[in-house]
Amino acid sequence: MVTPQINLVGTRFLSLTFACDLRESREVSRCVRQFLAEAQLPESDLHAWELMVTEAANNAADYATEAGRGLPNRLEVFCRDDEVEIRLTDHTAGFEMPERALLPPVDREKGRGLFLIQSLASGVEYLRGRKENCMVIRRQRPVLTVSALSATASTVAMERRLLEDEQTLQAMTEELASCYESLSAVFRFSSALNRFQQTEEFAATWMRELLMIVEADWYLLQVADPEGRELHVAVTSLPADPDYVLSLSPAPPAAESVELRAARTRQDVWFDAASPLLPGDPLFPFIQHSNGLAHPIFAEESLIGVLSVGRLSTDASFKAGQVNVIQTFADFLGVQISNARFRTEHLKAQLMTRELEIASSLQRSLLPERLPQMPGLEVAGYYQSARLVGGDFYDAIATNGHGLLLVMADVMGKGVPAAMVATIFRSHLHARPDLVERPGEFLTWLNHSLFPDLDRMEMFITAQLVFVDAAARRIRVAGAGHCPLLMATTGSTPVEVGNTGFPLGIMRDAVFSEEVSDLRPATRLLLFTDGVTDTANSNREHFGLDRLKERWRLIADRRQNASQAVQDLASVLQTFQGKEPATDDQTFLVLVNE
Amino acid sequence: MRIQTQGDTLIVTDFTELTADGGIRARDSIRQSLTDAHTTLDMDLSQVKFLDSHGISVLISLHKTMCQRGGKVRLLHPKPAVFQILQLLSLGEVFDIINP
Repeated sequence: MVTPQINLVGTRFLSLTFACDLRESREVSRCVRQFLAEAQLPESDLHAWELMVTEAANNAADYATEAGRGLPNRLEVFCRDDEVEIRLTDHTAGFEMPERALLPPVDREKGRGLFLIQSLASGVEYLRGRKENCMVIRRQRPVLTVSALSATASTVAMERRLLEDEQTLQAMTEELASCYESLSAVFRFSSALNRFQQTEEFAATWMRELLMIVEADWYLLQVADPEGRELHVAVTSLPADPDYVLSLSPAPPAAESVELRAARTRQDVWFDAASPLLPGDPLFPFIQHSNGLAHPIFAEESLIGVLSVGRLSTDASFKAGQVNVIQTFADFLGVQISNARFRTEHLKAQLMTRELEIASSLQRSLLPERLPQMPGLEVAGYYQSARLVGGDFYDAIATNGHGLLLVMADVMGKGVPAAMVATIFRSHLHARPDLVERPGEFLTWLNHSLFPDLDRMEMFITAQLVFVDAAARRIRVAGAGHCPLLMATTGSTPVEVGNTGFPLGIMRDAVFSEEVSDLRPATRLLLFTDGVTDTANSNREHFGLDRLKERWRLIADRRQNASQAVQDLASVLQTFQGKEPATDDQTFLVLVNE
Repeated sequence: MRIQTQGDTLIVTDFTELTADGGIRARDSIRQSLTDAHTTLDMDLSQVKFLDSHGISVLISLHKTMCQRGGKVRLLHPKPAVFQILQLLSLGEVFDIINP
C-alpha cells in the first residue's frame, strides 16, 4: 500500500495523491473524514463525505485505464464556510455523467456508487479531459438549527464580549501601569521636593526619567518668568540647545508656537502628521518631523511654564497612559518650580527681616546709654528707627569737665552695612579724645581715616560735630555735608549753624573748618538728621525745615528742658506723620543752656 | 469477523466495515461456512460503522446465494448511518432489516 501524500496547506484545504487501489481509496476517505472532522462538520456530513469519497475513489481505481493505472490519483478538498468541495482527478476513460443516476435492479450487485454520490451531494460535475478527468462534488454544510444558531450567536456574542473584556483589561492594565508610574513618580517627586536642588537640575533629572518611562525622544521645558511676561527655555534634551524666548504679552502676533497655544488655551496642544509643527514655530527648526504634545503647567492659576515632549517620528503617538504620566510629571514639576520660587522669596524676606533686626540692634547699641550732663547744660537725644534701618548716629562725649562734644551723623545707606559703618565711625570717634575740642580737625582726621573703607564700600557719612565749651559758653561747629543745627534763643527765630563741607568719604584730603558761636543763656540747640525734616504725612508732604524751625522756636519760647523738648518734638513728628510708615530714621539731639 | 451457526442460522458478527477493501474476502468466508442446513444468514451490523457500494454488492451477492438455497439474509441492528444508506438504496425490499 502506498501511503497517500497529504499536504496540509491550511485547516481549510487538503490535497493528497493516492494510487489506483481500493485499499488506498478507503485510506483516502478516512483522511478526508478526519480533515473535515477537524473543521467541525457534523457526524452525518462526515459519514456522507466518507462514503462519497470512497465511491469516487473506488470508481477511479476500478475503471482506470491501463496507462492510467500506474498514475496517482489526486484529491483536493476545499472546506468553505457554507460548503465543502472535493475534486478527484482520475485516469479513467471517463463516462457520460447522467443528470440523475438511477438505481440498478435490486438484485444487481453493482452500479450504486454514482447513485450514492448524487444522492448525498448538493451537486456533482464530471469534467472530462484527454488524459484525465475530474469529478467535482459539492455538499452544502448543514444549515444550523435554531438552537445551533442561537448557540453560535451566543458564541459569537461571547467571543465579542471576551474580546472587549480583553481590550478593557488591556486598557486597565495599561492605565494601572501608568497609574503606578504616576504614583511612583509622585512619591519620588515628593521625596525629591524635600531636598534642595536647583530647579533646572531637578527638572533635567526628572525629565530624563520621564523620557525613559514614556519612550519619548526629546523634551523641552519652557519656564515663565515670575512676572508672567515671557517663556524662557529652562532645560531641554534637544542637542541644538535652543534658547528662544516666547512673549506672553496679550497681543502677540499669530500664535504659531504650540507652546504659546498651550499656554494661552491652558490645554494640551498636540502635533503629529495630521497637524505638524508650523514653519513659524520656534520649535520647528529643532524637531520638524515629530509627534508629541505641549502641556501647559499651572500652579494655583499662575502659568509656571510649558513642557513639550515628543518622539522623532510622525506616527507612534503616545498612549493614554503615557500622556497621563507626562501630565503628572509636568504638574509636579510645576509644584517644584512654584515652591522653589516661594522658597527664594521667603528666604529673601527672612534674610531681610533678620538683617534689619541685626542692623537695628547694632544701631541701638551704638547710641549712648546715658548722655553726659554738665552744670547748666542739659543734653537729651531721640532716635526712632524706620522700617528700613538707616545709619543715623548720635553721641555726646564729655571732656574733663571743660565741655562736651555733640555728634550727629548719618551714614548713607541702609541695613547692616550702614550700621557697620556707623560702628566704625563711633570707634574712630572715641579713639581721639585729643581732637574733641577741635571738631574741624577731628572731621579732617575722621575723613582721612575712614576714606579707604568708605570709598571701597561706595558709602559716605554726613556728620556734624559741635564742641560745647562749658566755661566759655561757646560752641565750635564743624559739618561734613550734614544739615545745619538749629540754635534758638527765647524770643528769637532759630538760626542755622554750620552747613559747610563735603561728607566724609568723598574727598580723601578734605579739610574741615569750624564755625564758632556764642552760647547765650536760654539757648537751645537742635542737632538732627534729614530723617526729621523728611518725615512725610499721608499727603506726601514733608515736615520740612520751616516747620522744624517754627516748632523749635516754640520750644525755646516755652523754655522747655531737654527732655521736654525731645518729647515735644517727637510728638509733633508723630502727629504729622500719622499712620504713614517712616522711610528714614528720625534722630535728633538737644542741648539746653539755661 | 466472527461466523457461527445457531440452529439453521449462520450468524456473522464482530466486523466494523464492509467495503471494497476486504469485502470479497468476507463474502467468500461466509459462503464457505454455509451448509444446506442454513436457511437464514444473519449479518449483525451492530458494530458496522461504514458500508460502501462494494459492501452492498457483497450483501446482494450473499442474498442471491441464500435465495438459491431457499433461504434468506437478515440485517441485524444496523447503526443509523448504515440504516440510512440501506434505505436510500431501497434495500429494505431485498433484506429483512431487524431492529435498526
